[in-house]
Parts: sequence; C-alpha cells; structure tokens
Amino acid sequence: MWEYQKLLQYPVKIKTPNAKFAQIIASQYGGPDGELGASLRYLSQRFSMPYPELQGILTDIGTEELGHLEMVGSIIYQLTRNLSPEEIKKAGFDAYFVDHTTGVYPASAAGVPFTAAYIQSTGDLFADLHENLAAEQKARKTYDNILRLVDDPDVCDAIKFLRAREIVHYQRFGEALRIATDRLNEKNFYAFNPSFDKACKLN
Amino acid sequence: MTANQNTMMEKIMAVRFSVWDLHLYLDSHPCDKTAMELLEKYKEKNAVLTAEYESRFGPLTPSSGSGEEWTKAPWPWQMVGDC
Repeated sequence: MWEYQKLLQYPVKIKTPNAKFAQIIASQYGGPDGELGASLRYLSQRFSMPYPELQGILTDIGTEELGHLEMVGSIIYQLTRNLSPEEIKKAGFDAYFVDHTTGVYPASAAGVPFTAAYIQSTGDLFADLHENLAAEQKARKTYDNILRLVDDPDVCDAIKFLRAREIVHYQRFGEALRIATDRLNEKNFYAFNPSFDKACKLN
Repeated sequence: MTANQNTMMEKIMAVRFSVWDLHLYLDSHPCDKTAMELLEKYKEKNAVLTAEYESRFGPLTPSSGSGEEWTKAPWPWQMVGDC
C-alpha cells in the first residue's frame, strides 16, 4: 500500500512553455528507459527477491521512481500550457497533439507507446540486479541527452536532480549486488538461484 | 499560492528529501549511527514544519485531511508559482 504525499520530490517551476522540450522529455515518462518502466520493474521484482535489505531497496527505489514519474509528468504539463495551434505546429508537437491534445501519455519521444517489453522481472536475483544497474545508467544517459538538447534553466534544474538520483540508485543497487554476492557459497557461485532454489543452503 | 506557502512548501520538500535519502541509504548501511542520528534530526524538523504547513494550508497526506481541504488547489504539478 502507498500513501500519497501532496508534493513533488523536487520543485518543478517552469515559466516558459516549450512543446519541443515537452516532446523530448516525454521519453522519460513512457519511453524505453523512463520512470514508468523503472517503477514497474523494481516493484515487480520485489516479490521474488530474497534478503531483507534487497526487498527494502527495491521497495524504496520503486516508490521513488513513482515520484520521478510525477515530476516528469509535471514538467510535460507545465511545458505544454497555453500553447497556440501555430506554436504546436512550429515545434513539431502536432503529431502528439492530434491524439493526446496536451494530455500526458506514456510514450517515447518518437511516439512509441509504453510497453512492458522494456522491462524484465526474471525471478533470478543476479539477473534482476544487473538489469537494474543497467537501467539506472540508461536513464542517466537519457537525462544527459536531454541536457544536451534543452537550454531552459527551469527545466534543466529539475532534470539535473533526476539525473543525480539515477547515480544514487546505481550506487544502492551496486551495494545490493555486493550484499547478495557475499551470501553465495564461494564454491557454488551462480550454480543456484537463491530466489528459487529454496532447498540449497544460502551460505 | 502565496509566496509564504511556496517558501514553506520548499522547506518541507528539502527536509523530506533528506529524510528519504537517509532512509534509502540505511537499507544497505543498517549500522551507520551517524546516518541514523541525522535521520532523526530531519524527521523532527519535518514533523514541526509539516504541522505548521498543514494547519495553515491544508493536508499533505490523506491521513491528515479529506474533502474540500484535500482536493483544493494547488496540486503538486500546478505549483508553477510566480514567487
């Protein structure tokens, strides 16, 4: 169960709407390395994850990603306020607009709708943790590319915060991997899956 | 949203972020006493700021209020602010 907090994790206050920026940043809402995939990935992987520390890390990071989804949605909402049809056409936002107006819809910048095929939940803790380490770097890469394309300081401020969190999460997943690896039998590395092979002793 | 509400909200966001990041850190560093003490300090600050904010501007969570006081603006994505 979750309890909503009526606040963003970090302020989003964008003075100047810009549909082109909205279209680019939408990829972090519903794109291949976006926040929706991140939260679904971690919150789904929890169920087969052994070890209390790892269950905690997945719950907490999965929860924080939902907060990031809300921040990215807020950025898109604020960037698409009060636009005229001329501005929408000029920014190349018309292809999005015709289906979604200025509603926030989970799709990539190129318009591919969100799909669960972006994520994995393997039921194997080492496969999952490596997926998560990669996912944090891929999200960091997307934020880096957004910062290469966007020059509005109001937008960049929030994007820089989100980028920094990817690095913190990468660090936490690295610690999770170390905790899990330390609990393997050194003569039995990867020979069994502690998420599934219950009969095996974990140490 | 008034400048005052905006300032208070940003203080709460900052303090809650500190609480959250220390909470996450303690998942993998459960014996770090310095982090635990720091977490308690920020939790106390958050309780004081939240009580003051909610008494003036309305609930921040469903458990502290319902109905019109809960649904009234601004919602987080609307806090564009001219302050």
